[in-house]
Amino acid sequence: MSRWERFWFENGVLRVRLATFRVAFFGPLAFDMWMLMFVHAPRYGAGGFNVAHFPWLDALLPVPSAALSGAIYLVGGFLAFRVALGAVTRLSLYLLTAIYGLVYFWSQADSYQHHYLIALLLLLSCFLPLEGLPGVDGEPEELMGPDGAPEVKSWAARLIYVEVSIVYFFTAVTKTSGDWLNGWALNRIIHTDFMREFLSWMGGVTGTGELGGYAITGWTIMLWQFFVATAFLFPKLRPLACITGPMFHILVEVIDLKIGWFSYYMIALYYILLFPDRWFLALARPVGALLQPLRPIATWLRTPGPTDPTTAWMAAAAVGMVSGAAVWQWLPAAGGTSIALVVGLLAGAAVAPWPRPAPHGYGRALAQLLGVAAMLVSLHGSGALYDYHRFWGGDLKRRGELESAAAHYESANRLAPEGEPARFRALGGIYERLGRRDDARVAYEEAARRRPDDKAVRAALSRLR
Amino acid sequence: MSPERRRGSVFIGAVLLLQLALPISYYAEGRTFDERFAWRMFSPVRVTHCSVAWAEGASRRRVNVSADVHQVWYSLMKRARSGVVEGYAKRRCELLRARGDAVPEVYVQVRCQHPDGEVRDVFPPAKNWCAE
Repeated sequence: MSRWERFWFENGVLRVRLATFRVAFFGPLAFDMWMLMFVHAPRYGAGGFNVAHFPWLDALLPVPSAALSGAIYLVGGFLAFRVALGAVTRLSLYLLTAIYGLVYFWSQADSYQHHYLIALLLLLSCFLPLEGLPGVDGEPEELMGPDGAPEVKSWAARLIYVEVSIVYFFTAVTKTSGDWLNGWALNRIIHTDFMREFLSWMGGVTGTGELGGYAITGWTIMLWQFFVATAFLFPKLRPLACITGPMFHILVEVIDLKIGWFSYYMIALYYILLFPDRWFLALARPVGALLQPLRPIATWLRTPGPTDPTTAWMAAAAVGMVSGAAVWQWLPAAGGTSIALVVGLLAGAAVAPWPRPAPHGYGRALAQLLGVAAMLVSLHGSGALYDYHRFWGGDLKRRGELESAAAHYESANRLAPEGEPARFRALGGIYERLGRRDDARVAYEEAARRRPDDKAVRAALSRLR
Repeated sequence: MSPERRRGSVFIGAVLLLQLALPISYYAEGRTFDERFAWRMFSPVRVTHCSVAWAEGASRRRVNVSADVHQVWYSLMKRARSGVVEGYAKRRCELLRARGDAVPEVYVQVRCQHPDGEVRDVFPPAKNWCAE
C-alpha cells in the first residue's frame, strides 16, 4: 500500500467525533443562517446590480434577488438543523451544500472568508460517513461501529484537517509582511480601549516603543498560526494547539472584530478536530451519562412510523401542512409563501413512505416540527426579522424607492423588539416626502412616545401642526 | 488501488490543487486588493483606507453610488475590489448609452493611503472606462 493510500484511506476517526461535528457544526450553522445571514438578504440584487465571485457566473446566472437569497438562507438553515439532528442527513446535506454554495458564489456582496470556509467544509462533509451515528435516523449504540470499533475510516475527515491546515498556513503567510510584524496593521485593527492600553503598556515595559506591544503581538500571532497549521497535520502537536487555539479565538471575540460567528466555528473545530482521542472519549462519557434519562424518549422516537401506507401518507401530509402553514403564518418576509411551500414539501417528504417507509417515523416528524419552530422562534426572538426589514427599508430609502421603503419600515416597526426606538422617525420622514402628512404625524408621534428627548422628532411634529 | 479509492484520490487531488493554487495565484498575480480565496485574514491590505469618487460625462458630474446600488458595493469599492469597480463602470456606461449618449464617459478615482504613508491611485483616474 502506498504512503498516499495509507495517509488518506487508512485514516481512522472516532465516530463520536463525527457525531459531535454533526451537532456542533450544523446546529450553529442553522442559527447563523437564520439570525445573521438572512438579515443581509436584501443586499442581493438591490438596484439590479451584482458582481459574482467568478465572471462566468455573471454570464450564467441572472442578478440574484433578496427574496431568493432570503429563501435560501431560511431553507438552508432548516436543512442544516435536520443534519444536526441526524434526520434525512445525506439528502439534506447535499441540498444544503448546493444552495449554500450557490448563494455564496453568486455575489461578492458576501465576501466573508469564513462563509467561504463554510462552503468548503460543507462540500467535504458530503463525503463524511455521517449515516448511522446517534440521532433521529441512527441508533444509540452506534458510537461503536458494527464491528465494535470506535473509529471509522474517512478520507474526507483527513481532508478537513488538511484544509484547515492550509487556511492557517496562508493566514500565517499573510502576517509575514512588514506592515503586520511592525505592529502597524494590528494598531489599526484593535479598537477596544483596554486592549490598546495593555499593548501600549507592553511596549513601555519591553522598551520597544509606541508600536512595540503591537509588534510583539504580531510576531506571536504569526508564529502561532504556523504552529497551528502544523498541528492540524501532526497529532503530537495537537494538545498544545487545542488549548491555545480557543484562547486565541476568544481573544479575537474580546477585541470585537465584528466577524460574525467565525470565532465560534473555529473554537468548535478545535474541540472536534484537535482534542486527543483519550480526552475526547473522557468528555463524551459523562455527556452520555447525562443524556441517559432521555433514553426512553429516544427509544420511542425510534419506533417506525405507521406501516399502513394510507396512514403513513396522511401523516406525511399532516407534517408537511403543519410545517408549511406555520411558516406561512409567522414568516413576514419576501417570498414567504414560496418558503412555506418548500419547507412544507421538505418536511412532508422526510416522513413520506416513499421510496420506502421512513425509518423512525415519529422521530423524523418531530425533527421537522422542531426545525420549523426553531427557525420561527430564532427569527422573531433574535430581532433578525426586524433587522431584515429595517436594513431593506434603509437601502430602498437611500436609493429613492420611497413607497417600498415605507412598506419595509412599517414591517420593521411591527416586528421591533420591545424598547427599541424602531424606525418611526425615518418612516415619518418618508411619509413627508411622499406627501402623506397625516401618516407622517402618526409616525412622528409614535417616535416621540418612544424617545421623548428626540429634538428632530419634536421639530418635525411642530412643522406638521 | 480500488476504483473507489481512485475516485477519492482524484477528488482529494483536485481540492488540494485548488486550495493551494488560489492563494498562490494571489501572490503570483500581484492582485494586492482582491484577497478573496487567499485566506488573508486581518491583513494589512484589509485596513488600508481608500476613497472612491465616480464621475461621468464630459462635464465629469459626480455619481452618487449609494443612491444607485447597495452600500455593500460602495464598501467593496473602498477596498479597491477591481471586479466590483469594473462591474459598476460597465453598468454606468450601459446606462449612459441607454440615455442616448453616443460617446459615454465614466471615470473613477480610487485613492488609497498605503502603510508607508504614500497615497496612490489604484486605477488611472484619467481612464474612460467606456472607451474599452
